[in-house]
Amino acid sequence: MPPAIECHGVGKAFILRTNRQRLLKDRLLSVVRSHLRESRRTFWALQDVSFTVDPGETIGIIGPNGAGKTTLLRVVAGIFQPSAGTVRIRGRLAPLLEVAVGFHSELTGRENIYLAASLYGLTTREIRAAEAGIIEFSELGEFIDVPTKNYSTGMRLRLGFAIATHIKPDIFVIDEVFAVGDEFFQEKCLQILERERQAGCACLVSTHDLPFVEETCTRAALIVGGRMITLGPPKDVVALYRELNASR
Amino acid sequence: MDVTADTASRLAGRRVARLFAYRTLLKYLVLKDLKVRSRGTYLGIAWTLMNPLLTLVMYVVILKHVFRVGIPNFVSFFLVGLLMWMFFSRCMSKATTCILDNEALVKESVFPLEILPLTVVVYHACHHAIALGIALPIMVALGGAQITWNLLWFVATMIAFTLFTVAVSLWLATVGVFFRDARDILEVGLPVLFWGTPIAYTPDMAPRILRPLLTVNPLTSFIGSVRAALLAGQMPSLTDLGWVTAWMVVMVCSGVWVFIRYGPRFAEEV
Repeated sequence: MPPAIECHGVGKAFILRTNRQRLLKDRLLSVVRSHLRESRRTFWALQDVSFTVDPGETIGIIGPNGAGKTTLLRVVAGIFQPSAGTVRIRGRLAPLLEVAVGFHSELTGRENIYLAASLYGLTTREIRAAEAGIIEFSELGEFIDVPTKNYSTGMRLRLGFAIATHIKPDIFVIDEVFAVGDEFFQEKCLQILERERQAGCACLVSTHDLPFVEETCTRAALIVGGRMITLGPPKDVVALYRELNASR
Repeated sequence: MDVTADTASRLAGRRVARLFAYRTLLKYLVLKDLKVRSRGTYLGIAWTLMNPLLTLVMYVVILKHVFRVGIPNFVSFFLVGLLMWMFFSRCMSKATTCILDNEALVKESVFPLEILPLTVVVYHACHHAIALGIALPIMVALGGAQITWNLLWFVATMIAFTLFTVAVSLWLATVGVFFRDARDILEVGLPVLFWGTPIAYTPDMAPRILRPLLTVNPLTSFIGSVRAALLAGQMPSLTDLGWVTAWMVVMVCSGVWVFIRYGPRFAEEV
């Protein structure tokens, strides 16, 4: 079976601008006034990252803050264009970078299900078929017809995650999202992830939860300074990361 | 040569297919705007009709009874131009900020970004359709609108006008991402464009030196064609139809090009 995610020499450069010219007025003025001119510096947030994820694998990405984990997820999801290398995706990809993305607080939970699920490319018929399951998983009960502005953070999280897990993607790209929920709900999310993985879903998860990586992931990757230092058995990678942290 | 043409058409086909796959998102984004707009306001959608109605009354009183403009059926004449202007100008200001207003969607999820400017146009087209539905019977009753087969030209021009507006929205959505003052500049420019378009007057009332400006203003030919078909019951002049077609084709091609060229950078620029 071909890999679900294939990255070859992926790099992502951001142009850091001092004096960033956000205004057309400044752009025009800078022609005559040199101190307004912006200076640019290229910053490589990711460099030469190559790896594949097979269906049925969960890969945990660990690394210090600012190492490039979220940038990598955004490049894999297709939100950012890679500046170097290639990314190849096989199957429907569901990014879960932020919970409750697409929600509008004036709409009810049920209306938000339709809005947020259509953001993943589902049709009305597909959403209607998943609706009951989403509401049950979210444990919102009668609150489903209340505007989401009256929801607690946990309620929004549960509904957001319920939607994401019910769209049956082939690939999940997850950025540290279930850290917000309570223990019981986290456990439920992990069970769902595990079930999806066994059904052949490929998962790419960025996290700071090292026990989760050791227990749940099939492989782990360590990213430091935009480079993938190592990719291998979770226990070894986590041990290396702990060593690295100890020597810092 | 053949190979590149083949891949280009395949890429275009894939893009259109992807947009079609996300049609449900367009539907729910438009519904969201309609619901949010009407919820919590007592009169709901009627508010968006109050604005053209009051503007109409004001302009008719001032232009017809103060300035004594001698255009026959002035109410119908002005109403056609005003409704088209309101549709176009509202789309322009909303489209300029549509990517920035939806920053979370652009940064955290994956979908064809052209959905956002399309949502703006479809949402306003819904309002416009309601407003037209109310205005048309009034214009017929006032003896302004003529019911003839030439109404088909009215329908055709309106479709072209909508496509033109979509294209302008693609342009402005792109410009709005890279220049944060685009909205402010537009707000200053819109009144100029309003008076630079024959909405409250006819092109031949303008002094001779200004007429070339009116001719190249795309809105002139769109409004001119609609007035000819609807108010005079005639086929629009070939000059107007020529300008309408040319503007539509040029703007649609360039708008699609600019959006495809710069769209992939939106997520890192917002």
